[in-house]
Amino acid sequence: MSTETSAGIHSPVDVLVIGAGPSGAVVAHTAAAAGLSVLVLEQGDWVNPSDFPANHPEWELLIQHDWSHDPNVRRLPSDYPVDVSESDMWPVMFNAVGGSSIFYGAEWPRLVPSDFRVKTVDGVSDDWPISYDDLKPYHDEVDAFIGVSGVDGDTAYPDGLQYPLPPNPLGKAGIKAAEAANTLGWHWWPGTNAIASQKFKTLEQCGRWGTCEWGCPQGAKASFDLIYLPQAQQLGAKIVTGARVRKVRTDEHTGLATGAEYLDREGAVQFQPAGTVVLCANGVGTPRLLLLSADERHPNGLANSSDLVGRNLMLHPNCSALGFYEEPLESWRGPAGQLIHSLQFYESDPARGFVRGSKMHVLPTPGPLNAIEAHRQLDFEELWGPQIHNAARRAQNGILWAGQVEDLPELDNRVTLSPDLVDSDGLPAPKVEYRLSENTWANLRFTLNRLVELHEAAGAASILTQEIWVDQPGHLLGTARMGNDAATSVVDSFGKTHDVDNLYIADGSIFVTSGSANPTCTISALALRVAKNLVDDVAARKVNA
Amino acid sequence: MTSHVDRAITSGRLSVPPRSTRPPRSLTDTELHALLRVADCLIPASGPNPKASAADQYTSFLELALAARTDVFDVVVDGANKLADVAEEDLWEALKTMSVEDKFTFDPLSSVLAGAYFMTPQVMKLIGYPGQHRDPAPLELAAEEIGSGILDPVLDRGFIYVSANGE
Repeated sequence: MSTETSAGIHSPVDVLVIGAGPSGAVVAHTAAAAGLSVLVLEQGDWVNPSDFPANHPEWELLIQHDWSHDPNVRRLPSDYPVDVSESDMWPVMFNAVGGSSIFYGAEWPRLVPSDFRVKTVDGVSDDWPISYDDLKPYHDEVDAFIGVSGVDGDTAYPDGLQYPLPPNPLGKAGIKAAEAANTLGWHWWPGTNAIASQKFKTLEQCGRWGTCEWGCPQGAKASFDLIYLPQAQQLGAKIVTGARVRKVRTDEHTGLATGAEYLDREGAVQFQPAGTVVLCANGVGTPRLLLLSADERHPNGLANSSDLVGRNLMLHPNCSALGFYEEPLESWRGPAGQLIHSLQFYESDPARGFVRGSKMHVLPTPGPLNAIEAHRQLDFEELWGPQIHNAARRAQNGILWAGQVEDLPELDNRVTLSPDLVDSDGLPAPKVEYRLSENTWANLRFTLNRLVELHEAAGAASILTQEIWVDQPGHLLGTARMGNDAATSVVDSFGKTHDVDNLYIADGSIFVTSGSANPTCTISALALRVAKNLVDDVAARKVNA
Repeated sequence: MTSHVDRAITSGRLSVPPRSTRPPRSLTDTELHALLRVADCLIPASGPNPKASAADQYTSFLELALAARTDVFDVVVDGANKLADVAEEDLWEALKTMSVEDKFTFDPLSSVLAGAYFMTPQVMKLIGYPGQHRDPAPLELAAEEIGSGILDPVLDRGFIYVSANGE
C-alpha cells in the first residue's frame, strides 16, 4: 500500500519513530534489529564533532548565543520557541539527530530502588508500575551497547552494578572533591559517564576536552547520533532530517494511528504512513505533538482521555556552589561529565523537613570567560579593574559542585499550546507553566548548604553560590506518565498509550516521578523496554491481520 | 502570533549555526578607539598582566569576539560609543553605573572585550590556561587514582540505599 500526498508517495513502514534523540535511537535500532522497517522523522539535521564551538578559540563567546543551550536564545532553524512567560524555569533542548544528547553531559546514574516507590516509601506522589529490578536488565543491555565508563559496585545501589568500560580519571579536581567528602564521612563515587574511556565501537576515546555540554569535538561522548543510530542505519532504519511533525493521524473507524504528517525543509506537507507510531520527542515536544493532534474524535488532544497529557512536568532544578582554590587543579580538563558524584542526601530524611533528596556531582570549570561570567554576582570593583586578572586565573583552580534535586509531579506544572507564539512553520509553540514548590525550594536550599560544606571541607579560598539555575533544565519529564490505570496515566508500563493501541511513547514523558539522577540513562533503558515490547506487539498484529 | 525564526531563509544546515571570523562590518577608527578605551578601563595593566589594548594581537581577537557575538554587535559598538565623551577620570564610574542600570548593554560589551583579551595567546599563557584541547588520559591513570585507597572509606561504610522491595 502507498499513500499519495501533495509532495509525493511514501511507502508505509512498520515503525515510525518521531524524534532522533536517545529514546528514538534505541527504539529505531531495536525495531530494525527485529527485522521491521523503520523510519525516523527528525526536525533537525546531523551535527559533526568538527562543528562544535570548542574547536574554535572564541568558544566561550559562541556558547553565549549561537550554541546556547536555550532554543529561545539560539534560534536555529531546527528549533521551535518555548513560551516560558509563566514559568519559574526555562526548559532547554537541542533539535538535531542525537537530540539533546548532543549537549548533555553524559552523566549516567540510574534511579535507585526507592525512586520507583515514592508513594510507598514517602507517602507522596505515586509509585511506578515497574521496579528497579524490572528495569535493571534493560539498563545493563544499554550500558553494554554504548560503553558506559564507571567503577563497579556503587554503594548507593544494590549489589550488581557493573560497567563495561573502566572509569575516566577523577583528575585533580575530582580527587580534591572526593577528599572533602571523605573528611565529612559522606558517600561519593567515581563518575559514571556515557563517555568512552577507551575507543569503543563508533566512539573515540575521551580526549578530556572538558566541553561535553556544548558538544564533544572528539566524538567520544555517547550522543545518540554517534551510537545506536549508526547501528540502526546499518540494519536498514532510515532517518529523514528536516522533518517537523505536526500531527499524528488516526483512523476514524478503528481509532488506530495511521502515520504522521510533517513539513519538510521546503515547507511542503508530507504524510508518512505506518503500522506503529512511537513518540520520542522529549517531555516538551511529545505532549505538544499530542495536543497538536487534536481532532473531532480527540478534541482534548490525542491519547488524552485522562487529561494528563502535558501535566506533571518535572524539570530537576539545579543549584550549585563554585569553589576556587589556591592550588592548580587543571580545571579546564574534562570529562564534564561528572568527575565524581555523591548520593549522600539522595534518600528522604524526615529530619530535613522535606521529602526526597538530591544528587550532587562535580564538574570542571573550563574557560576564563566562563569564570568571569560566574563572578558577575559580585560587586563591580570585585570583578573589573585589576581584579579581573585574578578572576580569570581562578578558572584553572575551580571545582563546580552542582546539586540536582527531585521535583515531585504536580498537575499544574504543565505543557500546553501557546496562544501567542508559533514556530517557523506556524505551529503553536509549547507553553511551559512551571512553579517551584515549597518542598523543592527546601530541598534546593538544603542541598546548596551541603555543597558549600563540601567546599569548606576542601579549603576553598572563595565560593560563589547559585540557588537555582533558571535556564538550564534539560531534563524534561513526566508529561505523559506511565501507569496501570487509564484514568490516572497516559501510557502503560510498556509505553503504549491507553487510548490508541498502536501509539507508543518512549521518552522522558513517561516518568512517574523524577528521582534526582540524570535521566538519559533511565530514558534509554525505558526506551529499550518499550521497543522490545512493541516489536512483540507488531509481530502479534501481523499474525492477526 | 509571534514567529521564531524562518526556516526557509537558511539554505544550509538546520542544527549548526554558521561560523564567521569577521564582524558584520568593519569598525571605524572612532569605534575601535571607543572600544579599546572601555577595554583598558575594565582590564587595566596589573603586575605582569598588560592592559587590554596592549595585549599582543588584541585588536585581531576583538574582531573575532565581535564576529562570535554578531547578535549584539550594534549593542556593543553603540555602548562603547555612548561613553566616548565621558572624561577619562569619569569612565570607571560611568561603566559602574552602566553595569547596574543598563545590563543589556554592559554585559555583552564587557563579555566581548574580556573574551577577546583572554583569547590572546600572551594572556592565556599568563593566566595558565592552555585552552580546550585534546588531551586523552593515560589508560592507567584512573586505576592509579582509585588504587590509592581514596575510595576505601566509602566502601567501608557499605551500602546506603533504601530497599524498596523491588530490587
